[in-house]
Amino acid sequence: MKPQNSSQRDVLAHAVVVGGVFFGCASFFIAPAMQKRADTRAELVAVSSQLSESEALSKRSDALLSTLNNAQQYEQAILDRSAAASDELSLYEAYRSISSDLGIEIVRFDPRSIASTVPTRSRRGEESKAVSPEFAASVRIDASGPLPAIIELIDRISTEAGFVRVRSARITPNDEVGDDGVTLSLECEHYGFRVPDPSELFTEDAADGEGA
Amino acid sequence: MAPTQTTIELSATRIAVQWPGRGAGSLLRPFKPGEWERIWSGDSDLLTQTVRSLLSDAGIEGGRATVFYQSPTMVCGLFSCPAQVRDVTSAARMALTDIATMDLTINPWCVQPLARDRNGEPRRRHVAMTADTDESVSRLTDAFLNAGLAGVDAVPMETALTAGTVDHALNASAKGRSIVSVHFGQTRSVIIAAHDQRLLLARPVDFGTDRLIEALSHSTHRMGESSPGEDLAQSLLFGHGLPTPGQTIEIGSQSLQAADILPAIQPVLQRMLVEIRQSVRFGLSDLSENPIVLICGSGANIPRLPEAFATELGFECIADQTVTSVELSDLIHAQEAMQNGLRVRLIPRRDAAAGSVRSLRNALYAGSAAALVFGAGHTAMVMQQAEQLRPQVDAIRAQTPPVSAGILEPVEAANRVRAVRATIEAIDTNVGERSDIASLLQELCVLTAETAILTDIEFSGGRDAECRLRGYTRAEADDPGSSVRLLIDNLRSSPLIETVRLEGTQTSVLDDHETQYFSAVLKLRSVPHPITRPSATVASVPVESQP
Repeated sequence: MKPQNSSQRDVLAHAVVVGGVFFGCASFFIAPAMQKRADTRAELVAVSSQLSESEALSKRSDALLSTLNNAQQYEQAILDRSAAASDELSLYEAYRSISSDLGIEIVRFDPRSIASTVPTRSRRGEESKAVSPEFAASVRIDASGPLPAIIELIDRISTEAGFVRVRSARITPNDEVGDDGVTLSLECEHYGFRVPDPSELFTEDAADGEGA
Repeated sequence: MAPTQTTIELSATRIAVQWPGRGAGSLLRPFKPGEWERIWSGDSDLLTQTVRSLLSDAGIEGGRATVFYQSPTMVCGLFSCPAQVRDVTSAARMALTDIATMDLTINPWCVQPLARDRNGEPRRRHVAMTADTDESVSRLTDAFLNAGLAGVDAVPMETALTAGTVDHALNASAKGRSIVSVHFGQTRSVIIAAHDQRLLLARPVDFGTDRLIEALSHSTHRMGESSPGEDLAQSLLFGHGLPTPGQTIEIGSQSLQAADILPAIQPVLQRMLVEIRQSVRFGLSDLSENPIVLICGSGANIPRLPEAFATELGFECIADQTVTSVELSDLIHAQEAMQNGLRVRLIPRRDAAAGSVRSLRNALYAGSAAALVFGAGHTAMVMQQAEQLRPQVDAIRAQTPPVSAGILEPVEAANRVRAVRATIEAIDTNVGERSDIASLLQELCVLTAETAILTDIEFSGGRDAECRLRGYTRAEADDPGSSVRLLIDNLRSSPLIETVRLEGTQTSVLDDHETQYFSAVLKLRSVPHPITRPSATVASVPVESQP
């Protein structure tokens, strides 16, 4: 019986050694290899997700970029238009420049500040801060000159002196200026705008709400 | 060159060895009286010396040997059970427990399915089963190992012969024939009855041709023969066969009468005939046709034996004389059974336990090697998969366009667009729609050039802009109002004017001409400020914060 038990102990010892070898192999070779594969798979999934997100973002970005370019053109146009309506002096310079070009004499230039308090709403109805004009003034002038020049004066003031609303105008003949001479009494409202920074206009909550 | 696999027969009367290969041959040594009993009563050295001497004479050194043996304690049998029984081994073991007088938990035993009925219903499976005491098997194995053999497979001779005879009978009973296969062996015999490849009866018989030789030798001894009786009896039996009545047989200088021989062997033959008749009666009683009796084993080489059996039985008897060696007949038949798939052998318990440990160790080593190979392969496969995934990762990473937040941040851009839009809305709110006064004045100059002289143009702005005109026209004598009417029609045709309302006219004479003064109010069409009509792109800019 003793040799038999000895053989069984030998087998048991061998089994323990073999088990240890397996455990070592599993710990040092198989487990790291499987971990590497798992990491690579996870990385593959991650980059695949990034790719799909990036492609979607790229498509939306293209559309958004086009819109942004368009908006930037509007913004530049607003700024250009508002340059002559930044204050009373610049308005006066604009009037004087136009009248000088047309050979019209402005006998009275009477600017008065006005306030615009009309709130604005975003397209989706969320409350946002109102965009107020940077400058708003009402100008009353009296001028005389040939009718074509007066018409040209009104046209250029309407398009070159900021955003203009003509409140009233009165044209009466004035023979002293010439055969087609007229006298013009004109009252206009001039507004100068600046596209505000979005942070000034939208609160984070409002922006998030719109985004959702 | 020594053979590596020898076959040994150990029976009650002799020990024989046969070896294959280029120097194939056989040796046989009869036991002296009392030797067989001494071997199994505890004289192990006798068997060891006998085997060693025999192997030495045969020139056999080492190698394995299959020993077909008989022992006083061995038990052999044939067990049949329905083919539906799944655990045939357990069923056969239970049957073996019934017939064996030994404890199978401490003694070696073995069962092996031999064959199954190919026809008939219900079909049965047939299992060879054998057992022996651990003492006998160990003694046998130790003796052969001590004699110089490297390994021994101990196979009960009776089991091997029974298996071979069953195969013989089933194969011969094809095509619906009834067969009684009689293995007339040297020391033991087996009778198998089969019909249409269906085993019907198996019957062991505890004597063989040695009993005939023994009876003949006693007879010749009584006749005063001086030579060893068994040799003469064997040559007489297998050389001349069964004598016919009145026949005289000449052996050397001796002449023997049939009347001297037949009475000696007749009881043995009659007993065999009785065994065969009973087998036919019990095994083939339901069958109307007469069976064919096939005789094999050493008895098949006795001349005129089939004819004598046929005469007595009334059946056709055929001798299978493919094995011509009379002395090694049982050994050759047992060897054939092993070659045909018999896997019965008895192993001493200590060897079985050692074999189990050895098998366990071998399985451990083999499993370890396989596991290592598998683990290495698996690791390599995993690493390869990881390496194969890497190019995909790199390719996808290369396809992914870089997104620079500084260039275009979706939320920031959207808010910027919204700011522009809000500014435009503010402009629309403050400036709103307007009337193009400059264009209106130019239009008025054209429309009134031929019809009227304007003395006052008064414009009031806003969304409902109006323009009041005052002036006069030169009235026609026949139709004083035609000029004013023409003027109004001209004004109404202008796209800048929405409605024209004549407030009043007054006719007076001016410079000898009749003049008609008028006052009219024009409601002007409003046109939006160009910048308050942003393009659809800006108006519908998606305002989303999610990238």
